[in-house]
Amino acid sequence: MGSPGRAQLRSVLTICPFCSCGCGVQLHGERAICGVSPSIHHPVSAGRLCARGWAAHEATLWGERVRTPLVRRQGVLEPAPWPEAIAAAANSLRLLRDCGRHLGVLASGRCSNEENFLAVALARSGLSTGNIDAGLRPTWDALIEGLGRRESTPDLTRTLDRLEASDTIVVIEGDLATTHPRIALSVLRAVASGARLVTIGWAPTHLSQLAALHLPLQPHAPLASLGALQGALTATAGLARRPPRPGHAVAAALAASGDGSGPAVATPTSLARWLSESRLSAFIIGPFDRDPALLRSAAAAVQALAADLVHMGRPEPLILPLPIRANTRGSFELGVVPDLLPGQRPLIDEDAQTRLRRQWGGQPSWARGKSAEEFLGAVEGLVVIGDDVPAWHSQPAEARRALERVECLVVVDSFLTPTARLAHVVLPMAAFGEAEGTATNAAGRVQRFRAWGPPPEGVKPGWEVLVALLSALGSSFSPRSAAEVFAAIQAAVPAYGALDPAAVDQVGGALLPAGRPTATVNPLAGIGAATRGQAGQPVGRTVLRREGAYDWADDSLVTGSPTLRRDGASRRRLNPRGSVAMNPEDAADLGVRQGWSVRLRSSHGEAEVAVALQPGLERGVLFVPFTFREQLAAVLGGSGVTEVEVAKV
Amino acid sequence: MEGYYCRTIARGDVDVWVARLLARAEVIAPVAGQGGDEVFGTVNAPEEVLWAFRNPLQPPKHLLLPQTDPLAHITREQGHYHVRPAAPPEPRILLNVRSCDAVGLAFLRQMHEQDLPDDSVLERYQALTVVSLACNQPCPLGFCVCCDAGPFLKADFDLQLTDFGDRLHAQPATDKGRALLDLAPDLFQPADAADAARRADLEQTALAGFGEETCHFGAAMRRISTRRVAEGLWAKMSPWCLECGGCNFACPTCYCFSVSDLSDGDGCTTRCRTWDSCQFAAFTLEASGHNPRKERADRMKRRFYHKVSAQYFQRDGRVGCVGCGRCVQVCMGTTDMPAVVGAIRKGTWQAGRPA
Repeated sequence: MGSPGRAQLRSVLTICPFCSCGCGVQLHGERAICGVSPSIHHPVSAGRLCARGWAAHEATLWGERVRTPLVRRQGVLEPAPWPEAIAAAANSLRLLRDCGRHLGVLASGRCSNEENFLAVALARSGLSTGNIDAGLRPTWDALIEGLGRRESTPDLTRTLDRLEASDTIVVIEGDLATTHPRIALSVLRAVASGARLVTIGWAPTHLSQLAALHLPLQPHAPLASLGALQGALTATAGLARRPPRPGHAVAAALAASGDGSGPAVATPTSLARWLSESRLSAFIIGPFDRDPALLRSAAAAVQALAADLVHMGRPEPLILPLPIRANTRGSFELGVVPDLLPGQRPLIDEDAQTRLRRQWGGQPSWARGKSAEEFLGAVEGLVVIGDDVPAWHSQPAEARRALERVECLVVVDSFLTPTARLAHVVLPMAAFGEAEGTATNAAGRVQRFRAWGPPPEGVKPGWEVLVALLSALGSSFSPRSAAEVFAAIQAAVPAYGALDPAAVDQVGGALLPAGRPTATVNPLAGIGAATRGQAGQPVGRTVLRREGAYDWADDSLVTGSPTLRRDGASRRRLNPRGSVAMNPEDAADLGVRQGWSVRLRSSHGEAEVAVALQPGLERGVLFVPFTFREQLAAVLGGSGVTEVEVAKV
Repeated sequence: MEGYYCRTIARGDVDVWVARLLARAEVIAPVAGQGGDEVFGTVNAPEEVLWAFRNPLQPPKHLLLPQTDPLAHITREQGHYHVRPAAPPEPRILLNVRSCDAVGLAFLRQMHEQDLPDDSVLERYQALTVVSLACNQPCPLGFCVCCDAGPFLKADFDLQLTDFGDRLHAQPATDKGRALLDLAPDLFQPADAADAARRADLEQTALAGFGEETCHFGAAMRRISTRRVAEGLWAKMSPWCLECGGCNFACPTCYCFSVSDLSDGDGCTTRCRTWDSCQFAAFTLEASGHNPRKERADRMKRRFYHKVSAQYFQRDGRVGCVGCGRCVQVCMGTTDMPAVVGAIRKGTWQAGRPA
């Protein structure tokens, strides 16, 4: 970590490793990495960072670092020299591969493009399997599939400018101010300039305080609001073929917006009217749930709404789907997905196959693999790169059990995560600020991660570790630097090949070219998806829903940061049995107060949990935050939503 | 003003002088960083020093209080704990720091002299020679004139430079500052009355460059100190704060910290002070789970009361702000110092202005 000789105060420009906003960060230090400040000239950060960004350097320093390869001997992980550790991993994996056993590779949005591309090569070429995935991949995949963009790239040029110039913004969110603060800032600025904000989510959030309207997603009929909205929009279509009329019908709603007094009590009809009169509108779809079908339907509904608006003569709205992590989008585009080749090409695409075969050598597998949650419990050999499985898995206890059953678990990571502790071989890789690489943010900016200094003695850059594994497995694909891996990416993936590498080095990186939509979306599909399957829900029962798609509090970059981990750590300590959000009137009826315990019983099981009162929540609805899903696993029974009976304890 | 000691140096000779500074001690100055950003960095050659620049976003307080500040190294040997303080600071010259930042450093020294003197900060300040560069024109977001922290200074520097264009005017205030001039008696000429007049002119021009609506602390201070802040104002403003902590981290006068132990994996633990932010909920969260500032509105209120209320002004002789404008730049929401001070004065909150 330290540099020899006289210490110099110096800085490198890199990008934040947390969410997919991709803000520019100046990483400073003298003898070692010391701190960060925002990049002013970076087009996204423009001098700002969120709380996570300001602590971007901390996990590298304070996280529980793996400093040497580890091999499990007699049940205990012990330090081992690199050649021995690589051989141990490769020999076991090769044996399983050659016996035809099932193997899998998990990469992640925390990994760089270089690491993810090599992970795909490792899976398809090194291990002859199509089981290559990232745990959070479906949260991005489903959104762009719903937008008809699964095999192309969305057009997200000048996203923030267009967002700030919008006069009507609809955010479908799981708390955008927490998941993507930089995007929330653009929403705030738009509202400060007079835009009408509509938040759609399970419960009112930070942004809802400034919204003109909050439409709740009904836990048992989530898309009813969107379906109703689309219906209302279609109904107003006939009235709206004229230029927008400011004031008048929307004056009352405008008066209620932006002063922090909370959203107006209004209906989808108001929103329909605003959209039909807007000069420029924007839809943001944040990671609000883990159910891919729900995400897909929400995106399809938004796409249908957008198509309707264009049909009505309004300018094309901005649609901004948001991936969760810094490189979730990049990981998907480079092939960390079981049923696509790098470049979002179908598995049967012969041109893509030829390009990859030429690069990787041998006979890679073009098989369709299983998704991460599916193959986790079904493989005998597993390589996990840059991720902690229980942190994202919808059922952490089951994930741990599945990991324990794996015959050969190889983990490549910077941190000794819970996943790494279960491994047979742990190969240390460089952390943030210690290695070069690229990542692709939500808008398709391909930007450079830079190293402030080398990793600790004995730790290697991730790409180097993966190339060593590939070689040990008999592959001839052996790039000798991160730059060579990027060159390979450019050769294999046309959209990345179109980028000028010198542009990637610039502040703000290079934007991927927008592709054309590959699927046409039936404008009526949204309504169909929204209302299908919602009939027949019994009323009067309490519904428990798991809220959110991911909790940063469980992420290694946060648990490794003294500044950032406090909120999550104290929440867990204060609520060892978890907590559920409950409407205060429901609580009063039950005779419970803040912090008191209730027993939840469903057809799957039961559990006791503390109550957190949340005004603004629908009656008859309970939400369990994503981070407490494990405590309520018995009640949820593997699903994201279930009916429950609630009793005071 | 110590006119007797003022000097001037031809612009063409400045790099020669800087080369002599480099031979004397480590020189830290605004330099060109990657991506077009200006950053503070160690200077290796005179031409690296920036003379016309946007103030780096990273405040120079990190020279007294690094974002990760190693205080002591702890090892366990033969059953005993051994505590070694971090290495004493080397002498350093901070060149071309802006007036606001020079005042910020002096403020931090003052804060760490009170009560229990903080040796770490004080020793670093002692080892630092502060060479400020007066601002001939206000920076776009700055309001130093409202905080008595610029554009030209009367105190809080070792050596103050003013750029005349063809020459630099140098005004020492301390022995440390004079020592730097003594490195180049061949290059510096005594300043004369005409030089003094020219400098005064430049100062007047700079003062006149500030707009009308900057940041009027006095009125806000009166309202805060007499409890006449409009009801519900903080609750109205707090939804506009995204709790990034940037205002604290980028502020030259903020110094709240947390303490964490850093392990090198080899048996040595380093006790570090790390920057913290009073805007974070966890900052005041107690082990019992109680949080005296649970609401964001309360945390915002606390920050501005600390910066702006009269009791601190009376105790410290300064307002807790140097008007550098960084909080305006870094704010993730729209709740920077001028906006909030304006809201306190007027009693109403006007949701943000695009920066």
